[in-house]
Amino acid sequence: MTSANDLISIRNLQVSLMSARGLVHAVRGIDLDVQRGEIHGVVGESGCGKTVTAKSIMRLYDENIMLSGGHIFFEGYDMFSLSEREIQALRGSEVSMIFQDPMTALNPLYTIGYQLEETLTNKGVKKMEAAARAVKLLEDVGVNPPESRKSQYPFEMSGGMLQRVMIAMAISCNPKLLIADEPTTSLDVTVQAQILDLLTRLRDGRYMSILMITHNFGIVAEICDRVSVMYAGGIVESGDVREIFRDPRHPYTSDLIKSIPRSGTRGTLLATIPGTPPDLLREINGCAYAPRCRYASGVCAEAPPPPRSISESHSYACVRGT
Amino acid sequence: MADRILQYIVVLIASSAVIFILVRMNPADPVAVILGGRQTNPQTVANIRREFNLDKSYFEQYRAWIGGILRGDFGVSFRYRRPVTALVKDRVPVTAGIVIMSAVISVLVAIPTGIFAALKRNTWIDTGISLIQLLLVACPPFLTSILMIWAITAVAPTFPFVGSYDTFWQFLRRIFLPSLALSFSMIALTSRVTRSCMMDQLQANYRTVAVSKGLPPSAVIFRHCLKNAIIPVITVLGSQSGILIVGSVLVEKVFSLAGLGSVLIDAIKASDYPIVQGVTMLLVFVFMTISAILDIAYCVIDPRIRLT
Repeated sequence: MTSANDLISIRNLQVSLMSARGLVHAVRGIDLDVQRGEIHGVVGESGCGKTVTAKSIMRLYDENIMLSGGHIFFEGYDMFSLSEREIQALRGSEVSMIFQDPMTALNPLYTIGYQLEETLTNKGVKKMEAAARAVKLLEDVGVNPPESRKSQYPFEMSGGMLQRVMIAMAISCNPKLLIADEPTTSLDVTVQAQILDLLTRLRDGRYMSILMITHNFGIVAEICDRVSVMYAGGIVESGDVREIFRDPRHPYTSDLIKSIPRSGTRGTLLATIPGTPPDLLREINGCAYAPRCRYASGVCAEAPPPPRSISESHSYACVRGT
Repeated sequence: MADRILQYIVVLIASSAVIFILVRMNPADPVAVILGGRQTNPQTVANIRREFNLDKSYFEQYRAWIGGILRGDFGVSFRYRRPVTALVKDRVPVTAGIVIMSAVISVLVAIPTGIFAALKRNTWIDTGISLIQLLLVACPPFLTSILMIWAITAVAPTFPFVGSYDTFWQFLRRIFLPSLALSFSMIALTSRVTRSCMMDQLQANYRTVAVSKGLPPSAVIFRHCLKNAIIPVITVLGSQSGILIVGSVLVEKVFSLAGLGSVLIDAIKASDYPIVQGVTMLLVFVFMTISAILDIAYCVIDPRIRLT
């Protein structure tokens, strides 16, 4: 069911990757919708399939990743039926992406100005206009002074500045969707806040949607409108951020929220979740979280929990009733 | 820049001293070579020693040699009694031609195949290229030369791989086969390095970013990945150039070309000090020029090197 307000709808996406140990079922049939103009968070532990999901949208696959099923609709079009050429035209102009490590995301041998202008000229913008727009973009993301910064190489800039450049590059062709894959993980905390602030500001100014991939629930609380909580390749709970914070229904979500460090708790132990995520090489029959779940009972290991909706904007997958 | 030049000068002086000493460690007495087995008496021997400065101390001899080089005079061959420069002059184009041509062949073949193998990694194409590389690197140039001559006489008997040449075009045709034979091992190594560097770069983060910007695969591969992968390839090319110079000695012999190689080998056997010293210094100088050019190439390609 995709509604007109959905920019992107992921339906039953299944992705596997070939590893040295065998086929890893990284994404196990997820549904996810990103609405126009919203910041949608995808949160979960490392290796839960967040990044693979994000890369699936742009089909940024390495040769060892394979799509095993499902659909991604972008403005109603089935992305998986597009040719490589069509998806290439979409990359950068309709959907763009920023990455975890800005220090290695730019080519070390070209100036940031060149790499920024290249994005534009590749989409058919004239050289002169691209140069002018690059200056404007750098200014918009707070890289100052833009004219002299343009001729700098990536190794001459800090991580925070480079992430700003990456954002400038990503928004240069006014995409409808920006995928941000852990954009602040490698930055220090003050810079983190600035980047998050910048992203929110850009969303407001350009009416673009952001798919925010993160392992940090704090970031979700700060900037996201809606969130999908991922665990072991599946989405366990999704909905409005405030609703989920107020009333988390899935035990994993509530455990995650409990493990956010808060002020005023000095001297007390930070809550942690015991155990480790399941081995994604294996088939999971019941609820993937059952082995670590406080409330697990026999029924949890037998069949996958049915999805439940408690409101228009909040659903979860757990056998425990309301 | 200034300390670079100083570095080169130090290397030149040091290698000249090493060459000077090594040449004199040859047990063959140059006087015997000069006399060429003729009947002699102590007076003639003493005269010859005086004529060629062999009666002076090693230090005096070294100073005379270096002083001569600075004036452009590399001394007079013991055996031919002609200036070294005159003896060597005609032979430089042959050796230089072979070295340059085989370097060009290597680059033209090795870099594209290396890129191609990296793009097709772990497929039968990659395996096939690896096998050919293994074969090429395992064949010593003299063996490939002989096999080539054998094959050419069977397949295209009219192809000129022996005899004289008059025009530049004929010269190029004449040195083509020896250059090809010499290039094989360099092709194998360079292609191998290109493949592995290219594979690293294809996995780099900036590559994913370049793809996510919507760049076409050609721009991602050549503009972004290849430029990064080429730096170590250049290093290998530089070190291989020395091997090419040495290797050209072999192929010149097999293809009966009058290059520097045969002069050098004959002179070593005959303890003809001035020729050995002169040719070896020339090779050192050429090698240093190549590495200087490569240093500049690094700076042009990589801005991070430019600053240091």
